Amino acid sequence: MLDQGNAVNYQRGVASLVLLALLKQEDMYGYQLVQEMERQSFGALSMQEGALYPVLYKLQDAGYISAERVLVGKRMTRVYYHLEPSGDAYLKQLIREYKAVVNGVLQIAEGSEHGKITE
Amino acid sequence: MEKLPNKAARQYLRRVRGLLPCSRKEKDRITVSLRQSISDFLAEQPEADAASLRERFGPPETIAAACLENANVSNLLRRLKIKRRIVAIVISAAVLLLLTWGFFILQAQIRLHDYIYHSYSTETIEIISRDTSQ
Repeated sequence: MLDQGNAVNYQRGVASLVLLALLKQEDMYGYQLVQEMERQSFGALSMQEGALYPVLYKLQDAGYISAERVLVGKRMTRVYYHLEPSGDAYLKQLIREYKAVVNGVLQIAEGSEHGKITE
Repeated sequence: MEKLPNKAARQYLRRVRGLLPCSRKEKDRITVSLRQSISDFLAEQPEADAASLRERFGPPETIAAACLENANVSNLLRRLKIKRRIVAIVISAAVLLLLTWGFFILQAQIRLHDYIYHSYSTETIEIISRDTSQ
């Protein structure tokens, strides 16, 4: 069982990576991103919708994602986020960096090659 | 913009906006998106209370923390610097005002003291002089 305090700290560093990876699968709206994050990580990652917006806006300002308002039903609108080509390139960079960091941490913590994440 | 129909939702949104440590433009962006999402949530759960809002969207403090974590550091530092300068100016002005007020109070006290103890004595000397001349 994950310690929630630690989990939140770890999550902070990977929020952009995870959101971009989810949007690579398909365009999603805010709550859908939250649900998919939890589902695909088997509960290891969870984020509440309100905390998503600062991350999404940061990615949007950088041009990595774009947003489109879609009418759902008669009155409800949803904002769908879409991964841009520059966002895909940034995602690849983030994954490389993340693997390097995790390997470095495991190297120190476990003192061996065991657990090295391969490319 | 239409008011949110739920009082708890309005209070929640107000609290979030009050805590956001970012520029006005950023605050507006975040609260507009949040407001829309809350509105959609209330369409499904019109009687949602504060607890269910916090569960779905997160405590206002968490949203504020996310804003801080994703803020542009140089903009944040610049805004902090400006705030510190404003606080320093206000404190300096308050101290100056206090000192000026204190100075005038002291001046008034001295004048009052002079009036009570010195003006009466001058009157007495004049009367003695007149008697001697006769």
